Amino acid sequence: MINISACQFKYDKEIIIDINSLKIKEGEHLFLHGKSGSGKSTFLNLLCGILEPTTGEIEILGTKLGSLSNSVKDRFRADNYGTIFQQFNLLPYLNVEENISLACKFSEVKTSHVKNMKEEIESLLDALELSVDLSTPAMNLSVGEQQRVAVARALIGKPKIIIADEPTSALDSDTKESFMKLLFKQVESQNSTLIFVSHDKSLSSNFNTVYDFSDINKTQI
Amino acid sequence: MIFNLTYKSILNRKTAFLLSVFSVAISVVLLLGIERIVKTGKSHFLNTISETDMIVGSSNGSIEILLNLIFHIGDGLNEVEYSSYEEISKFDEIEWSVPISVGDSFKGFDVVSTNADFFIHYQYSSGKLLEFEEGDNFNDFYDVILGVHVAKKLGLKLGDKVHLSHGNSQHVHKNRAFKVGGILKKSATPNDDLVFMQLKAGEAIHMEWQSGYFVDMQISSEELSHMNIQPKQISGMLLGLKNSMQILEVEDKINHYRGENLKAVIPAKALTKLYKLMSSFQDVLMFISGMVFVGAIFTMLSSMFSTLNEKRREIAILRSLGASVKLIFSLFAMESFLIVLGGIVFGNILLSVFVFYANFSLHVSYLPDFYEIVMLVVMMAIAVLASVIPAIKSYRYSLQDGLMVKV
Repeated sequence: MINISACQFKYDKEIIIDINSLKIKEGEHLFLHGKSGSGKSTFLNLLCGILEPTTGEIEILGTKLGSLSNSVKDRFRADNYGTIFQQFNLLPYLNVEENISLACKFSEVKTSHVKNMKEEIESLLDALELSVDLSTPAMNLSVGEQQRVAVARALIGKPKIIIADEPTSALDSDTKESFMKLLFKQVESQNSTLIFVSHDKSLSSNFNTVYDFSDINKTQI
Repeated sequence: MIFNLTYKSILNRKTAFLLSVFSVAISVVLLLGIERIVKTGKSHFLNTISETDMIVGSSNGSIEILLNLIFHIGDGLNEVEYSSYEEISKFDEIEWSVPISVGDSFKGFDVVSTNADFFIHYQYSSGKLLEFEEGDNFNDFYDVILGVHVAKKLGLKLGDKVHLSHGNSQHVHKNRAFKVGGILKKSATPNDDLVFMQLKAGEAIHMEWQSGYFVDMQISSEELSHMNIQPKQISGMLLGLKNSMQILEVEDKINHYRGENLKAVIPAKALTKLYKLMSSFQDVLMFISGMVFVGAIFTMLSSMFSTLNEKRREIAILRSLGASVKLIFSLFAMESFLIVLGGIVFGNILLSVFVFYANFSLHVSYLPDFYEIVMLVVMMAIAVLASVIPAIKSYRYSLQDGLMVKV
């Protein structure tokens, strides 16, 4: 479902990404291990269509990203992706419910997968074992709570691809474990493809595919 | 969608937002307020004296005559023979005439010697007569009429006794007591600061002064008032014509009057000329208020830039959710649009309240006129253009950062 071939990305004439071939199957749980500065972030930006490869092609769900106009690409991202960052995932001035439902504001596809927004959000939060009032402003939540809300937002509308970029780095080890467990459970129940990027190899145990990013990216930085 | 996000985002930064709105509002108050007051002031100034066809004095400069006879500033004019006045006032074309003599002062206020006709014929603001707050026109020989500021400043009431001084000097006519016979209502004209006495009374008390020395003539005030004293000279006169079509003829006649060097001044013309001399002052005011507006725009920009770093994260979040670059751009434009709109609305309310409470003696309008609305629209456009700067910056960030903000 994700097919990357002969893809290069240059910034200031310097090659940052150089991937010969990478295939990710539908429903695959991919752990991408990489140090900071290894080009992971750039890779994820390419994968989401925010950056365009200098040469080569990225094909996702049968669509070549390079063939899409910017606005169609934005729409494509809204429809098919759920994203979790390491922190600052939420708009601090929106409450829990608004933050989660924001994902559907940009996507009719996601909206069509949600019958009743409030019930859907409540059941997601329930499954993520988070009990907070939906009207709590995001800035009043702890980091652990924020990350779970972020997961709920990534999952809502059942996008095909979930991208998680160091989502646990701001969490302590206890919360880390339960966070991973819950994330996995939900991703599996939705049958989404998970691309999980982290420098922490101890998290890789449950993944069916583990790659070292430096093996994929031929560039030596 | 944009509006909701902007609204929530603003709610989160109320103080900074309100400060920006307030600084725009202040600049709106200044810009419109100055414009409005200047405009009202101009029309009032140009109507300092109206319905008078001609002011006559002995000088070559029309502004000099206007300054001396109407505004009571200037170095004084040459005298006009009273006989010339009598002769001119008998011209066929003349409907009314009022003699004026200036040059005396009373406790720092200028004294105008004239007669009761002055208050019948002097008009301002297109046909308003000088009205009396208390008392009325000259009745008694020793009556004085005070402008409202004079009465207020000196604490004089109707019936109070006053002693006038001679010329601009400290010589006070101690032996001749005048009585306040009338106090004028405020007209926001030079008349508010004047003391009026009758020409014949002025002449009478001056008889006792010769070459700067007091000469006691041993006459009682009562007797003096019954002597039929005619002034020899006056400073000038106001004229009304029967038919204002004849104005050029009469002007010509007076300017070529055989007896003396006289000049007829058409008030509206001279006032316009005088106003032009002062209009650079108005330009300076407008320039200053324009700068205040520029300052307000910078305040707005700096407050938007200060939150831009924080916003980078929000931009990344929105981008990851599928928000287009256009939407990010609109969020910024929307915010500054709201700041300026808020500032304009608030500024106008503030200005109306200010105009209401300031209680100007001039009638200053509460609502913006067409020209002011154009000004507001221009301000709005400038602000929206200015907001493009942080919006472009945010656009760059959104391309450069992508989803991962390295802050």
